[in-house]
Amino acid sequence: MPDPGIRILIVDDFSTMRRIIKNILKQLGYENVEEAENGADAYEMLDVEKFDFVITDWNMPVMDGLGLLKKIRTDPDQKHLPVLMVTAEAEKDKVVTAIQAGVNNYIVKPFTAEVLKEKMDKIFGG
Amino acid sequence: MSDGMEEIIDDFITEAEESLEKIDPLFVELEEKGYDSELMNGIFRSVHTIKGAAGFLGFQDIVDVSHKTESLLKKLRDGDLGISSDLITLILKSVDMLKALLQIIKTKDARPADMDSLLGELDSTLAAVSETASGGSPAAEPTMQDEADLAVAETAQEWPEDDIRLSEDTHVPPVEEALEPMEPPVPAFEEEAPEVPEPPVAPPVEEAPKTEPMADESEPEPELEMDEDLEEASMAEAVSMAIDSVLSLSDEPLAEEALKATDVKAEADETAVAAPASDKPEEQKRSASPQQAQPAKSGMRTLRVDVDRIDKVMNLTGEIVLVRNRLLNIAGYLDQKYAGDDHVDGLQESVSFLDLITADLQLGVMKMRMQPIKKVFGKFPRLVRDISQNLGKDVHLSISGEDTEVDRTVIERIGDPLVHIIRNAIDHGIESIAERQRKGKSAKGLVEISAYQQGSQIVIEVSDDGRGINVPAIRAKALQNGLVSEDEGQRMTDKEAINLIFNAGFSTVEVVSELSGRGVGMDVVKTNISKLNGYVDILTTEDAGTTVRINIPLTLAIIQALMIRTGGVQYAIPLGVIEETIKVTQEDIDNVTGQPVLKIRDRVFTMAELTDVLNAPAPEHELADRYVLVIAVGDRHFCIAVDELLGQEEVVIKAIDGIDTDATGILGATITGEGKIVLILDPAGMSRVVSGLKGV
Repeated sequence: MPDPGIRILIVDDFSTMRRIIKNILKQLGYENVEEAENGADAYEMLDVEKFDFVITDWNMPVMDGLGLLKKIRTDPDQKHLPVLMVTAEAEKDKVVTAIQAGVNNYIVKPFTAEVLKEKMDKIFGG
Repeated sequence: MSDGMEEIIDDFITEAEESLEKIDPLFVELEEKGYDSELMNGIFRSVHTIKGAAGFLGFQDIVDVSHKTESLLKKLRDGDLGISSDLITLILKSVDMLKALLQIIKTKDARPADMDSLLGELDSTLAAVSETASGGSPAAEPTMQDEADLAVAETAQEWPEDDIRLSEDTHVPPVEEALEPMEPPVPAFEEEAPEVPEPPVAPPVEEAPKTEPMADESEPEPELEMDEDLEEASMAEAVSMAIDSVLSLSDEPLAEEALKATDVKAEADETAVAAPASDKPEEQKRSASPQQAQPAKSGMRTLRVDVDRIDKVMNLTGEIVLVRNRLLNIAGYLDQKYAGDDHVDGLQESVSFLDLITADLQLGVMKMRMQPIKKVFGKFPRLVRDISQNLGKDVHLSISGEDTEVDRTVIERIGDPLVHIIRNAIDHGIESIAERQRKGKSAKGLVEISAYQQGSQIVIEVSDDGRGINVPAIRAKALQNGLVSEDEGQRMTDKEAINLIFNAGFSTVEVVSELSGRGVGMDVVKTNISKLNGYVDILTTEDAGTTVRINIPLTLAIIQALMIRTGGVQYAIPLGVIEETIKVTQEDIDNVTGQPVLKIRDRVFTMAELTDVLNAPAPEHELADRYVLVIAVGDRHFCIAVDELLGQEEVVIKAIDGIDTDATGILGATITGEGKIVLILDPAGMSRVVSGLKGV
């Protein structure tokens, strides 16, 4: 069972997408979910609020998911934060780039609740 | 379907449409400027995002079109393809198809007939690129989840432990008590590796590698086929499951977001939306739309509000204005009757205060409905590109004042007339390249579109540097068509002659080809603008160009009006068009071929009795000793004689069903301070009727 206390930040520039992911998370039992619409806003939120998990899109204006990931990994306070990249852009070289930057896992749109659960279980050792 | 799902789909359509709207101007800019990675990324992102969300919602046609378009864009971005007009036309066609597919979600129509041919066109363009480009790298193809997992596993396998920065750091859970111990990701990925008997990929490169280096490492043909199979199977499955998962959710979190579900973004004006904005500042900050996101830190907040709600507030404000007018009237009466009474003084004071507040409220609501005209202008770069390409002309479009704000009704209704005017400007105004060179003009024609506010009016101008309108030809044609008599034709100024093109009789192709001028549908333009209580002017100089100027009142619902009475009936006339009011005697009135005219300071105006204009019972007065209103509609001036001037009042325009403003010269009705229902007259309509009157 998911820990209901887990606080998750969804980062995506498309609000419909954020809603869809939020709904899937809710289905999995995660209710404590916040949203940001690009990497820069997300990073700002991480600075003031505590999150346990980040689900981020790759392709966003202002700061993309990779930029956010790099910022998180180089921030002493945040570098352990698990990050899941959600994107329709799943080229091998992209995946490689993301892993190099320290992503915990990679998930391709559209995905089901089952796939997300599987990834999260892996990340959280469930 | 549950409400929740429908709401998400509605949101998706709105958001996807907004996203697509941004593409057209970007592309036109790209075509003009040449390759620009910033522009390219913007375009790519819009299509990409739509694909992602459409996949979840099960709109397979949208996924197909956006996927292929995205692949094409990727080739452009990666330099496998050069920018060409044909290619841009194809991509724009795909964008149009995506817009059409979004419409279909709403209308539930069948998929467009040309969908398959478009997909075929996209496929063959992509295939052609793969052949010509070095190797047609399969590594650039987007993969599905399994492939991503595979890539993850392979990468993890191939790398020496210390190359993976995560491996040391991530196993410490952020909140020790709250979380299960978190496994480092690498071992987790490795679990999957044995299931995957694939040859290892190239060793990782430090930066995101270009596609070519990876191409020779794998077999293009079989892998491509597998991709597609995988894609079909897993996507269909994913779609149905995603829908199920969305369906099974409660509506609770959705209700929270109901406010966002519309197409108007009301900017949080301190007065206008202060109350709801203070409810959940956090949420609003995050729901601000991407294009307005950059000032998010400086406190700019937006809130999506249902248009119906704003319209309701607008209507209620209108009612308050009417009540205020009535109260002002009664308070004034009481003040005269019971001067010095404390209660009456108190009433007067309160009513004055109400007057002030109402004015502020009105302004606030009006601003809530205002949107930048960019929403309309944004479509024009693409339009100008398409038209000029079709006609083989070279046209530069310059746009200014796109931040000018207008009422949303104007946004909705001004588009078509402007498209018409722009089309005319390019088709009939701008000469062919050869003709321009012969005239010593630059080969590239210029169309300028601008918008600005002038007092209580919004002015929109469309200018071209083309050949101008052939006025003598218009006169000749009008005569030939019987639109004017020979006598009238001679009396007419050039301006009046040009205005003839607004006559429905001029809307024939024959006229256009003969005149090489404008005319097609200009009557429609005029009608549409009149519906916005606006008017159109045309300024033209032979061989220098033409400017079409549109004036529209800032607000459509509440106007300042002059109350008058004639034939025993009270009417309201929009104050903005009244240049002056004068009292005249019989000596001032002349008669030219049966038409009364009035000479004021050496200018001669056509004059008409209001009752004649309205086809109402005539007053029992002579024309002498009358009040006359000098009315200006655009550049056209005329005089209207009335019995009495009653004063100025702010009126709320209420439309009357079944009344044809053009034919009757009646704009709508309002309720006066005395509680009487009064007709509001349409100056443009009156102007038309006056020019149709022959002698009174």
